[in-house]
Amino acid sequence: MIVMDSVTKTYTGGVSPISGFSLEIREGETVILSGESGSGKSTLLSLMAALIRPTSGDITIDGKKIAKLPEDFAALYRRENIGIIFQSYHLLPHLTAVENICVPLLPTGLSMKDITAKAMNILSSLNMADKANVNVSKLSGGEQQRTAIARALINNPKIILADEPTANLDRKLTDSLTDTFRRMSDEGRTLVIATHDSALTEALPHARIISIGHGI
Amino acid sequence: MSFLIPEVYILFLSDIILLVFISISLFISAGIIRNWDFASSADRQYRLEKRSALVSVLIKYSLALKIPLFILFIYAEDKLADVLPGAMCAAGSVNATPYGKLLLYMKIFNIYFFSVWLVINRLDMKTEDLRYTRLKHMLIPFVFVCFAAELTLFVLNFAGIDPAVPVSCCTALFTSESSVFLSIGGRNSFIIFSINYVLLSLFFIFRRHTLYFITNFIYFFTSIISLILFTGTYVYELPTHLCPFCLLQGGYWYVGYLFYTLLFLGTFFGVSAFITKLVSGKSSEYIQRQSFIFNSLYFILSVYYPLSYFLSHRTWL
Repeated sequence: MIVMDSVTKTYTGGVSPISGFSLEIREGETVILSGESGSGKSTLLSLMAALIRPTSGDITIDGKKIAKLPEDFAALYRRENIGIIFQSYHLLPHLTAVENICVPLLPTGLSMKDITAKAMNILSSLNMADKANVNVSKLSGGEQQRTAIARALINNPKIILADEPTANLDRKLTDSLTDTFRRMSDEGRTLVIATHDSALTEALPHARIISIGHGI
Repeated sequence: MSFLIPEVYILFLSDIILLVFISISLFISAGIIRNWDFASSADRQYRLEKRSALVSVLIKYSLALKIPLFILFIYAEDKLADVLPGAMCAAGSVNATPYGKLLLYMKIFNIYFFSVWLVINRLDMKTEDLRYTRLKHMLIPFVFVCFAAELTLFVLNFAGIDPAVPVSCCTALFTSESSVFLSIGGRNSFIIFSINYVLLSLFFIFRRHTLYFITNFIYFFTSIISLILFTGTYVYELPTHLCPFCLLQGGYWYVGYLFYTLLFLGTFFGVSAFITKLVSGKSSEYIQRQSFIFNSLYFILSVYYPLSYFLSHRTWL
């Protein structure tokens, strides 16, 4: 369960996209954070991922206060619990698809053979096995998106955070991504998706929609 | 106020910069000691956590810089001997004013003390609840006082050196002084040092952590005394040459830097292992092993010189 209690985030310069925000997300729930650009959706996801710290307030995930974790512990927590799908994918351009997917598991001590086998499994489930050894810079937008999803899933996370996942996709790819999200939800993962794409919202009718505005 | 050589100016300016960093840290630490409450989610606590991280960085780099600066200090003392009449090595310049020896001892003490702070800081960063934060900040005032005392002694010493006044050379200093350690004699000092090393090895093998720490502490002194009274004479190949500083000169391949670096690392890791046990209650086999490795390398180096002399000359000095 994700619990945010009176969370405020003020950036240098005094901008506060989030102010006194509270939220509870149950395990296995799908939540869509909807709102305009700059409304604080990405900030909320970054806070849940312990990528940034709040200015005040508590963020607890499964009983662990993640807002106060020192950086080394936050990195470990992310690696074991969270999968993040970024809007612009953040893939490493000089690596192949399978190599990109392997990256999160490199520090775990697993053998390269095991890591690659896991990565190939996930790529297959996303119909990307034939692109495994292609450099990601040569993949289409949709293929890059699926590579990013595969990377988010490699550590088998309980929570998936997706930031504007359809922003760079056409209609067909959006539908395909929606199917992927449904499958993740059926597997019992908690999904938190930040989007202002109404098509995605409509395609996930079971999702709880939380509308957020400036300075929530 | 003149400091005679450029290296002393570099040391002085570096210490002034570090003092500014430590003063800022002192100011921030005062707030952290008063208001730290890790359980709180108030904005003040988050601010304190960020400031604590800043202090850690400032102090960590200040203290880490003290080690190369200490080497520069020794080099400067050695170079200063060139401009002081009568001085043959750093021994002359260290004894040029009444503050020189105090400054040297203070610098050695501070390096170990600051290293202890670094160990506590490392332990703190390894805990999820930053449980040693208050402790490490409570030590900052002592860090400041020690650092300020060192800087005061630095100014008193180097500003007080008069290049027109002759100083004594190392042989004169170490043979005229009627200190206790000189009366031990070269071979005896080496035997004591060797027994110390054997005990150190036994306590390491049988994992007696507290006894290892005590022997490690004594090892620092027995090794330096043995270096001056016994091993050093084989480096110089002269039984009357008793000096801990000439080893640092090019004529002896700067081997002193190797001796002192190994000794520092060995004893430092020994202290670190003890502090880790004392603060966290957990013994660190890894750190203690590092200590034993460096102490052993120091011992091997100390044995190498007399042994190689004996093998090539078939006699002891």
